[in-house]
Amino acid sequence: MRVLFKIMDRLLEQVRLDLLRPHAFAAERVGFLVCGVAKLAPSGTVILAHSFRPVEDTDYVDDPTVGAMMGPGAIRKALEFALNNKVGMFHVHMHDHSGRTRFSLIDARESARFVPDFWNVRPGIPHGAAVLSRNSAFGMCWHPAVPVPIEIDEFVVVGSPMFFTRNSP
Amino acid sequence: MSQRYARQSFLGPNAQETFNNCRVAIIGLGGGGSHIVQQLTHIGIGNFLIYDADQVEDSNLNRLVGATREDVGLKTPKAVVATRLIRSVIPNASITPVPKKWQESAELLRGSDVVFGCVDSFSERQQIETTARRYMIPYIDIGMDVHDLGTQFAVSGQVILSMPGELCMKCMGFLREDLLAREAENYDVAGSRPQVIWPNGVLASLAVGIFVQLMTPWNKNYRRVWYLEYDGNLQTVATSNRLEYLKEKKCNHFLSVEDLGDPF
Amino acid sequence: MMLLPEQMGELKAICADAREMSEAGQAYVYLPGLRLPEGSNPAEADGLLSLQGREGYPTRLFLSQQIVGKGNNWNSFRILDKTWFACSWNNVSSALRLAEILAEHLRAFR
Repeated sequence: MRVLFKIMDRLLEQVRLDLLRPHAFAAERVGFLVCGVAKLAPSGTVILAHSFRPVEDTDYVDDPTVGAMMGPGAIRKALEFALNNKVGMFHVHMHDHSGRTRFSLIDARESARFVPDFWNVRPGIPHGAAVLSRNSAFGMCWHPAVPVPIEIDEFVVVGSPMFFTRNSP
Repeated sequence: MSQRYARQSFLGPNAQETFNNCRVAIIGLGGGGSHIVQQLTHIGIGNFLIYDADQVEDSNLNRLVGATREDVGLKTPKAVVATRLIRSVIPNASITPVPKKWQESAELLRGSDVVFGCVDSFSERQQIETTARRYMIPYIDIGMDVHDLGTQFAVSGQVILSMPGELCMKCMGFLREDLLAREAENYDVAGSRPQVIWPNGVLASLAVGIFVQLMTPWNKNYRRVWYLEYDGNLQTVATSNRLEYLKEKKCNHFLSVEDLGDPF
Repeated sequence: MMLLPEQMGELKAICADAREMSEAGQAYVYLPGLRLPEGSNPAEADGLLSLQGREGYPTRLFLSQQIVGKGNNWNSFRILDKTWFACSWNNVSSALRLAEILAEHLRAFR
């Protein structure tokens, strides 16, 4: 299944700037992209980022073993938003370097723990997680029709000019 | 290595790869759309989704790029003419011809990178733009008209880029409820309006130029909103002065997340 | 545009799954499985009731299928990323109650 992720350049810039803000103790910041979703013919999904909900400063847990750890309040608020809005939620954080990026082992482990919980409040819709670098992106999509998380095949930054990152070989 | 695109290498080192991977939809393959198909083919677009429900008629031959006398006799669908034109230059292009009204297979648009609209009516434009916004697709619209002023004729046209997040055609004053209402009252007039090849060529070229600027980094003076007005009597093209009055305006027509993705 | 709950209730008595939707700031009521007037072919279709002026119609009823032999000048429209059909049946005021608006539009198919 092909997964296409689209985001406006201005929103992406807003997200990158927010994620680079310093935090009192967390080394990284995180947030959620609120997304519309749709099927792609013949078999695929397009994820359309609408807006960004940063995790609030007080919702981080001080855990020096990881870059950022969301507290239960952060997850609860994101779940509540998904419950009240027919949207896909994509967790996002940043690796502050240029070029291609991927999930770290911790990113992959933690995403697998909380992303499927969104189906408890908003089933039947893809949710996922992404990581940005300064000029690229990588992400995974938990899709209701697929038993395992699948890599986002392509990120499209819509703007002038357009920018494409294709992660599939 | 092929020298086919050597003369457009100034567009950037990745331009041809971008063009080859790009997915372009063209709705309307008549006088304007056929020009756009031709130009996009020559610059090396690799993936086409092309819509037109009509077949070639004799009255099309004054302007339909790629159509022949034989096509008139055979009642060749315009989508087939466009396919043939593309294949004659890029034999392995991915082409999805849809010889139907675009609304009947609109879900195919969702994966497009850019949509060109070359249609006859304001209502169609509104529908295409709304669909394009729903899937975060830049929409480039072209159209021409010949007006009978009584003492003489005036030829005019427009090229508009409706970029998601930026001013839409309603914001620009191009789509208005009074125009839509008048059009709905005169629903059968569109097909008989005068149409000629040279304004279509001008407008199509401008549209493709805007597209290339969207896709490649060759021109650092990027613009996010385009509204070009063609005066076919003076043979001029100028940015609509409406944009001057709209500099501070933000589009508030497509703000909700409900306007993104499949609402069902 | 929030619709009055009691009027939505009246609509739901006609179409149980009626729900509000919007697109580009225009308000609609989605009417899945709307039963059409007796003798209609098809007997039911999904409906979409437009409640704000568009194309010179103060309100308009769009259907997922054309009704055979009823209504004039059918045209197709892409709204909410689905294809809908509507005939030229105009001048149903938006000032009426929702159920009345629907009833007036269905008169086109009697």
